[in-house]
Parts: sequence; C-alpha cells; structure tokens
Amino acid sequence: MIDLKNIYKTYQTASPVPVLKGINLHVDEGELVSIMGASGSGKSTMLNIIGILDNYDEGEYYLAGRLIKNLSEDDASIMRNQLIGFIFQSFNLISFKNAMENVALPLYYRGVGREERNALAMEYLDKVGLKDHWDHKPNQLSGGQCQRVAIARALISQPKIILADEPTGALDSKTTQEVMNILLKLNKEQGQTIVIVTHEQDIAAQTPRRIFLKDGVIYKDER
Amino acid sequence: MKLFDRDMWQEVLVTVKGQKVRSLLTMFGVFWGIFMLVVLIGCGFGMKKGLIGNIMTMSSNSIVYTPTQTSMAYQGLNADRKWYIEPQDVTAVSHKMGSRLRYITLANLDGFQQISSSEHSGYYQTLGVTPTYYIDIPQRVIYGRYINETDISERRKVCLAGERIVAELFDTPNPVGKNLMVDGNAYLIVGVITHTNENISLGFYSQDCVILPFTTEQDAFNHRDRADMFSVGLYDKYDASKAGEEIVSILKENHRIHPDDNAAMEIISMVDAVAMYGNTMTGIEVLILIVGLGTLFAGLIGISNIMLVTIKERTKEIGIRRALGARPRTIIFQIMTEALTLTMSAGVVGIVAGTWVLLLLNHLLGAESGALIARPMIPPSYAFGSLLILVCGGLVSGYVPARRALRIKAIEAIRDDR
Repeated sequence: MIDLKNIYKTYQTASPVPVLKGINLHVDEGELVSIMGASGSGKSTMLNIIGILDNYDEGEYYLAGRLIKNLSEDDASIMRNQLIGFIFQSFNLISFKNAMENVALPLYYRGVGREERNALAMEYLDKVGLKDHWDHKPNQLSGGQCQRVAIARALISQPKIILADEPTGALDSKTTQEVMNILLKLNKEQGQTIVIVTHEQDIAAQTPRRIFLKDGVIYKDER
Repeated sequence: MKLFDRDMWQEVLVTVKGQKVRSLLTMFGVFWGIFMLVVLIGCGFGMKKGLIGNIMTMSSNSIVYTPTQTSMAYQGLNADRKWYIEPQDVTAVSHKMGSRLRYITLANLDGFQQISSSEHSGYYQTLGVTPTYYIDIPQRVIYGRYINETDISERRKVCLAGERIVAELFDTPNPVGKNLMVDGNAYLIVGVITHTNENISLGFYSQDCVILPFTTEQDAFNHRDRADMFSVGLYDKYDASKAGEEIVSILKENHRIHPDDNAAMEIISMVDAVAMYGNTMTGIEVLILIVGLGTLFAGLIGISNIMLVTIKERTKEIGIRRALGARPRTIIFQIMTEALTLTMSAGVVGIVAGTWVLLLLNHLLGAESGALIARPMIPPSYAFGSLLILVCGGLVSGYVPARRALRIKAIEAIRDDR
C-alpha cells in the first residue's frame, strides 16, 4: 500500500537541513503502524510526504501502486482527496461549519451532491456515535467529540490509508483510549490501513507494528 | 468550474453566514465607501446646479446690443444723438451673418409701468420681446407658456408675469387665464416666469418683469419700427464674440456713428458671462473629481485591508480545505465568489442608502431657491462605475493574498496555531 524507496529530503534554508536520509518503508494493506521518534527525528516530514502534503528530493514513493512524484498541485489535491484521510492533533475542523458539514466537506471537493453527501455524513457520524450532535459547531463539542468528527471526516471518502498525526495529543487519557479504540476497531473489522505518528509509548504499544525514527533514518521496525 | 453550481453557492453562503463579524466588516467597508461617494458626489453636483442655476436652457452664444447716445460728432451729425435698432439693421445683420445666424431677438424696454390685478397694483419693469428672448438669459416658465410666434404675428394682447409680481398682485401662484392691467390696458396672462441664475442678467430679473409680445408692445407704446435692444445668437460652432466686430460696424455704418465711438452702444456678451461661469463650473467639477477619487481611494484601501486580514485569518482554513482535496483554483474561485457576493450586495445597499439620503436632502432643500445646493443627485453611471472600481479593487486585493496563502504548504497552514 505504502512503498517508500530511499527517500531523501533536505529543507533548503540558509544552512540546508537534511531531515530524511534514505527512508525505506513498506506498509501492506490492512496494517496498523505507528511511527515514533523524538522531535526533529523527521517523523512529521515523513508523514507529510506520505500524505502528499510535501515533496521529497530523492527516491520513489508509491501509494496504492501509483508513483507519487513531482505532482502538480491539482493532481496532488485529487490524490489526497481520493486516497488519504487525515486526522490531526488539533482536529482542524472548520469552526463555522457544523459537525455534519465538516464531515461532508471531502465529498464536496469530489463533486458529490449536497443531499447525498449530507446523508453519507450522517451515516459516518452515526459510526462514531455522534449522530445526535450533527448540528453542533466544533466549539460546542468536547475535544474527544471533535476528534471523532474528524475521524468520520477522514473515513467518508473511503480512503486507502488513514494518516493520524498525534491524534490523541490534545486529549486526556480516558478520551485518548476512546479514540484509539475507534481506530483499532476500524483496522480490525474493516481492514483499514492506518499510520499513526505519535510520541506516546502507550499509543504505540497498542499497534501491531512500530517504526522508530532517529536523525532521519529508521533505526527500528518492531512487529 | 460552473458559476451557477448550487453547491458552490451553498458553500459560499455557509462560509459567509458562518463568519458573521468578518462578513459584516467587509460589507460595512464597501457600504461606507459607496455611501459616502454617492452622498459627496451628489452634493457636488447639487452645488454645481445651485451655483449655475438653469443656465443649461440658455443659448449662451449670443451678444446683446443696446443703443445709447452717440458721444462723437460724425458726418455732420451732432454728438449726444439718441438712436434705436431699426428694421434695416436686422436685415443687414441677418445678411452678413448668413448661415451662422441662429436667431435675432428684439426687445423694447418700457421702464416701470403701473401694473394691476383686480385686487392690487404696483409699478413694475415692462418689456416687449420676441420669443427667442427666452434663451438669451437664464429663465424658466413656471406655469403656462412663453411668448410665441403667433402672439407676435397676431399682435395678441397677452403677457407673462414675473413670479414676484404674481406673489404681490394675486392670491394664487398660478394666475394663468386671468387679466393683468398694464398702463390701463388689459392683457391675458399666459405664463408665469422666473430668473434661474441671478448672476447672469441684463440688469433686471424675469421674476420682476411683465413681458409682452414685441409687436403688441410696439402698438401699445407707439414704438413702431424701433427696438431698444437686440441680440444676435449664432449656432454653437461659431463664436458669437468673434462676430461682434462685424455687427458693430454694420450698426455704426447704418446709423452714421463715428467708427471710434465706443460709447454709442452697450454690448453685453453672453458668451463672456457664461465663460466666467464656465470657470466656476470647471472648478466645482475638479472639486467633485478630487473628492470622489479620494473617497474611492479610501474605500479601496479599506477593502484591500479587510481582504488582506481576512485571507491571513483564513490561512488555516485554506490549509484544511487543501488537505481534504480542494484544488487551488477551487479555493481561489470560492474566495473570489465570496468577496464578490459581499462587496456587490453591500455596494448596492450603499448606493440605495446614499440615493435615499440625497432624496431626503432634496426634499429638505426643495422649498428654498437660490440655495448653495440644489437638486443633489448622482448620475447612475458614476454610482455604478464607482461600485465596479471598488469591487474590482476588492477582487484584486483579495486575489493577491489568496495566491500567497496557497503557496504556503498545507501542512504549515494547518499548524499555524502551534
């Protein structure tokens, strides 16, 4: 599903900073993987490259069999929309839209009609147990509820992979477990491929595979 | 990208409604800019009208000649000789002017005569004129009509009464159809008249005069074959002041006046009088232009500022939308559509409100004549032209920062708050 071959990435600043120095990683369909590493280890950069939010300098990246390299902004947008579901630490819901509209947004950019996408959004809200809160704005929802809305939004486009960037970083331990349970269940019951970037040992411990980054290279790959 | 995609408009509407404060701020900026522009330009035009009066009805390309007395002896004739305009002068001037000539007005001045209605009486300036006198000076018929050719040819016993005379002699402002006694003779009132710009006159104002048909006046006051005054009006492409010398030499030759005798007639050039006013008009127009452009510029700066702040504030939202698969041009298009919707609707409201204020002002000023501002109104082309400039300015000033926001990587935009 995800195939990274000898990926190099250097940030071109006044004194160029090499961030990724030859990453090789293969993730199969249906895997649940966590990526760990200290800040500055390159894990966020790697996630951005996997999420087609950033380019890389050298190597090759295949996602669902397609080479992702030097894409135009338009093509990158289409790929993101079709292949990837994002979950962010700070939820990143649009503040002036209600839960249903937030969940439906990826389908809007895919050209799905309003009624159809809202009906689907209700379905996915139901899956994360928030059907009754469909008309709440993000500021009327708790952190855990926000992240569940974000998960529903990531799922609605039926992506090949879900990328979660510190998905529980802003949540307390009880809510963290609730969110993790949803992700675990998704992986187990529907075979959803999920990549989680985290620095929390507890989270990583719950995933079948753990990848450790240090100084821009993978130094440990546990199963 | 379809313009009339219902979904796109829904999205725009949700965004606009969701950000009430921001939307209202943008709209207020545009509204205020257009509102001020409409009111200021309207008042500027009103000021122009107030100062210029109804000068537009004047031919303004005529010269008025009033014979006085000769001051030099010439060809065996004494100085201090009184002379009048005679039919031969009219014939000679018409011939000389040829195709340049638009009209010749003849007028006789009879000084103050006793004028009375059935109730009151007083002494007022009386004159007899031919119909084209109407366009020699700035005046306007309030009720009824002016002297016409039939009045002249049939020597009708009709008259026009000045507005002030009507106010003093009649209980009604509209005495058309009633009789007016002039020097013991009854004349049917066919119209009421007033001067529209007191800065341009021949020394008396139409609202203070009784005006008779020229031929009727000649009969009544025994002024056959003579006129106290005549004006020569030329077509606009010929400058009447340039023809002045030719006319003066015809008159001097016909009446055996010394070629150097410049005191033998009074010459009032309407061209010069109006030209002086033209300068004032140009001054006001420049003022309107400066004020208008200034307001427009201030409005533009306001709108660009708000657009800039708005886009900066939306960087994160743009990042999220991009992560979810929005194409750059979809985002630009949406932002532009939002801006257009806001600015256009606010602009139209501003035009309506501004026009309403002008109408109110008009209503308040309406009763007074001779006010500094008269009938303030903005030409629609000015209003909508300005709106167009503001909207285009808003779009351009929204487009530039939006492009810049798109150049930021989606992930950096999203992490804006960390």
